[in-house]
This record gives sequence, structure tokens and C-alpha cells, in this order.
Amino acid sequence: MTGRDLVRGARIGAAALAGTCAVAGSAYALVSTLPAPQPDDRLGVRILDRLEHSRGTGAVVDLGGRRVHVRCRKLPPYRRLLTYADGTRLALSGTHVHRLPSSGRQLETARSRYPDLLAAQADLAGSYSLYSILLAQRLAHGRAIVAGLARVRGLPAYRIHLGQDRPEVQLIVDRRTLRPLAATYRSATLSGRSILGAPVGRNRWAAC
Amino acid sequence: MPGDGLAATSWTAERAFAYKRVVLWWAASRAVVLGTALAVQAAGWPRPSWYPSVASHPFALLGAWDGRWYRMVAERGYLAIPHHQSDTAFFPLYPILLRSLHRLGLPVDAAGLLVANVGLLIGLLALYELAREWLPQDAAVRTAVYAAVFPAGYVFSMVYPEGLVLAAVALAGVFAARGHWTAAAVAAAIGALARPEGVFVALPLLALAVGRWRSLSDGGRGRALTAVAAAPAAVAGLALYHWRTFGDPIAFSTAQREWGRWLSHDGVWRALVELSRAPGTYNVWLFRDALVCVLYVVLLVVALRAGVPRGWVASGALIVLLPLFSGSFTSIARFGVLALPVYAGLGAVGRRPWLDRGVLAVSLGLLVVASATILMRWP
Repeated sequence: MTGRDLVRGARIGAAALAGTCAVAGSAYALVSTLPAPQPDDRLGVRILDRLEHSRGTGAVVDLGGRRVHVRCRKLPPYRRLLTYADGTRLALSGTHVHRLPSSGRQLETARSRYPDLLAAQADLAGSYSLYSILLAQRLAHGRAIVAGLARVRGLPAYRIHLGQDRPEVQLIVDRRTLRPLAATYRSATLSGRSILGAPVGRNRWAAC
Repeated sequence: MPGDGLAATSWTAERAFAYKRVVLWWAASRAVVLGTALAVQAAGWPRPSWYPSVASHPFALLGAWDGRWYRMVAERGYLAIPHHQSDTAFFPLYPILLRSLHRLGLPVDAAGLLVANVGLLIGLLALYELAREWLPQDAAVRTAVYAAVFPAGYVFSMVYPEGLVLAAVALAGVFAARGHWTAAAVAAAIGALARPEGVFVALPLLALAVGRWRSLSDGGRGRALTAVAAAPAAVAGLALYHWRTFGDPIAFSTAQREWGRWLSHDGVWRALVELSRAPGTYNVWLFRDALVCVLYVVLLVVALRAGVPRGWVASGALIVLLPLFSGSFTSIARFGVLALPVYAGLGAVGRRPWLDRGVLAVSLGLLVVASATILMRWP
């Protein structure tokens, strides 16, 4: 191979490299014409990350005119158990909830009045795994994430939409740390809110 | 040799007849798919309660499944959601086109159907031209006609990018075969930016470039190498975007894990295990994809024996078989519609008139069934 051949080869290679870079650059420029992720969506992803790296322990729920404590823990193999202080026990599997046999009566009397009581009890109980599923669904469907701003115990917070728009479920998170602070539930027949307990590590048994 | 010299590019009565036949079969097959979709929607079959949004507007059925994701990318761009199904799994060119047509006033779904069906028409004509490089004239016409009526080809009329990719890949092949390397590079890049399968067109282009290397000028060699690298380069451009936007250059691949797909050496075994557990479950539809996968492999072998270049057959084999390494037969029927030699294999099979009529009749019947069952299983 002579020096001339080498020069020829280098010229061919340089032309091909330039062409290839032009194709890659054009592809990049073309994809960049799509809208970039919106700040609200990015915030939603960060909150989702926060929810998936820790777990909730429970909450104090104001619902149907009563204030009740609720604890949340894992229920093997893959469900979550929500235990209300009045004895109501709910099993949560993904976004599906069903009532377990219990001796509780206090909120039971409200069942006939509020057809969506079960959903409200699940949504307000402070389960991070439930909140993460509802938030991920919302992100994946391209629905609005931030409902507005709020203050909880003096802390500036975001109000975050969860799940569908009806009923309206919102998670309130600390603006600085994104720690979940509270949740609200509102439907045509029922409204309530809860103050969430402190988060713990995601592998803790007595949390969900 | 078919395709050599002036005859390959000039307008002849033979070509005019072939074009007419291909256009007619395109129209007939699309009438079958669109008509079946309309009828299914109107009848509320299989159950009116399934997906109420399907009845929202005509042909809404054809925008189901992945169509929703493409619409979402078109409307709001990408958003990577770690550990959840994300739209980054879907390649960008098709939603970009949807977005552009939407800006001109077309509804997004209508734009999707337009791009898909017009893409198929261009793809069929280009496939005929490409098949002329491989097979005798009558087999080349059959190749394009069989592609039009191929049962899994109902996806060419859905809000899916397959029609666009078929056109891009076939055009890349035609341009390269005729020495138009720059046009081949553009077409290859378009294919790769619309579906991951598009990247495999690099293989036949490489084979063509190597085969003609000695006869190419220095400039031609540079352009040929660019055409070979164009499809991977387009994917590299996409990777650069994902890296800058989400910090993950392979976000399109990462997102696939949430659909249960990831490439691994034991993927074929996982796919077979999944298939063995399918009977009696909703997943029994996997057998449809597995059977079509076997058909694809057989037709690729037939295509090879009929004289289709090895580069194209290898590209088709990668399109059909590589997804098995991600652990599932799911959607292989759809992936394989972009393996062009499959149609050439079918075209070679149907040389006897009774076989030709049989292939057309069976394909059209299955096309109706496949179009009618869109809601029962994603393509």
C-alpha cells in the first residue's frame, strides 16, 4: 500500500465519517423538535422516585366526620394491610382494595351513606405504594400533575394530582424535600383528608 | 439479470401493469382492513363494554394499543418514568410526523392513519422495485401483492409506524441497488428513526457496498459507507437525545423491561417457557405469534433458495429471531412484517396459478379475522 492509497483511504473515511455524523446530528435535531418534558412532569417523576424509595407507616384520617388513626403494613405475599383504629381492615393489592372481616363498627355505619367509602379509606391511608401507582398512571397518561401550592403545618407544599380526576385524590408533598405530608379525597358524596405518618425505609415490614 | 441497466429505471408497460396491480391490491386490502374495523366498531364486538373510547370516532379501533403511546409522544414529547412503562420505548419519527400533520389541521389519529396507509402504498411499490432486483418480474409483482394482503399486515393500517418503515427500508434497498447512496442513507435513517427493526437495513446495504466496492469512485465509496452507517447513526442521534434529556442513552431499551422484555442469552428459553404455560390463559394468543414466527423462518429459507441476497435474508432473520432473545414470542407477527424477504419467499412459492389464488384467498380471509380481533390481543 502506497502513501497515495493511504491518503485516498483517509479521504474516503473522512467523507464517510462526516456523512455519518451529519445523519446522527440530523436525527438528534429532529427528535429535539418534540416538546421537552415539562417541569411539572419532571417534578412528578422526582416525587415518584421519592415514593418508591421509602414507605408510609400510616396516617390520621378525617373522613365522614370522624378522625381515625390508620396503620399500614405489608401483607404477604404481595398485598398491603390497612388497619383502622376502629377495627376496619382493608387489603390493598395494586389499586384494588377489599374489606377484610373485622369487628369494627364506627365507620361501618357510614358505608350505606357513602358508596365510595372503601376507596376513600384506601386513598387516605398513607400507602406510598398505592400513591406511586396512581402517580405513575397519571404521568403515563400525560395528565396534569401539579394541582397547586399549599401549606401544611407551616411548610410550603405542592398539591399533586393522583389517578383519575374523579374522584379527586391529591397528595400533598413538601416543596423542598418532596416528602409526602398529607392526602385529600373528594368525590360527589364524600370528602376527607389525612395527615401522613413519617416515612421509613422501603424494606420495613410495618410500612407500605 | 432483472434490474440491470436502463430497464431497471425506465418506465415500461410491464412496470406500469405491475404498479397498477399493486395499487389495486393495496386498495382492496386496505378496504378489507378499514371495513372490518368499522364493522367491528359498529357491532360493538366482541363486547360493547370493552374500551368504550373505541366507539368515539370512526376507525378509533385502529388507534388502539401502541397508537395511544404514539399519540402521547406526538402531543407532549417524551417522558421517561423509571420502573414504569414509558413512552421512551417508542421511536420518534412517526410521532414527529403525526405532530407536523396535526399542526396542519389534521386530527392526530387521522394523521396516523394517513401516514401508515400511504407509507404502505409507497412501501409496496418500492418492494416491487426491490424484488425485481432479486426475482423474475411475475414473482416480484406477487411479492408486493402478497405483502399487501399479508394477514399480519393489518398493522399497516393502524396508528403504528410499520407502513412508514416498510417504505423507508424498501426504498433504501432500491436506492442502494441503483447506486443512489445518499438517497439510500436518508431512507435508511428514516427507517431506523421510526422502528428499531429499521437499523437492520444496514446489513444488506453493507453487502451491496462490499459487492460493488471496486466499481465505486472515491466519492461513491464515501457515500456508500455513509449509507451503511446511516441507520445506526440515526439511532445514535436518538440515544444522544435520551442521554441529554433523561441521562439514559438507551432509554428506548430500558423502558422495554417494563413490558417484560429484555435481551439475554436465555431469552429463547424464557420465550419457550412462557409459550408452554400459555394454554388455558389469556396468553394463549402467543401461539398465533409463534406460528407466524415459524412461517417467517420457513419463508426466509425459501427466499434464500429463490435467490434473495444473503444480506437481506440475514436482516430478515434478525428482525424475526432477535426478539425471541428478549424472552417472548409476543408481537413477533408484527415485527416480522418488516422482514422484506418473507414476502419474496411467498412470491416465489405462488408461481402456480392455483397456489397464487390460494395464497390470496387464505391471506384475505385471515386479514379479516386479524383485523376483527384487534381488541382481543395487541398486535
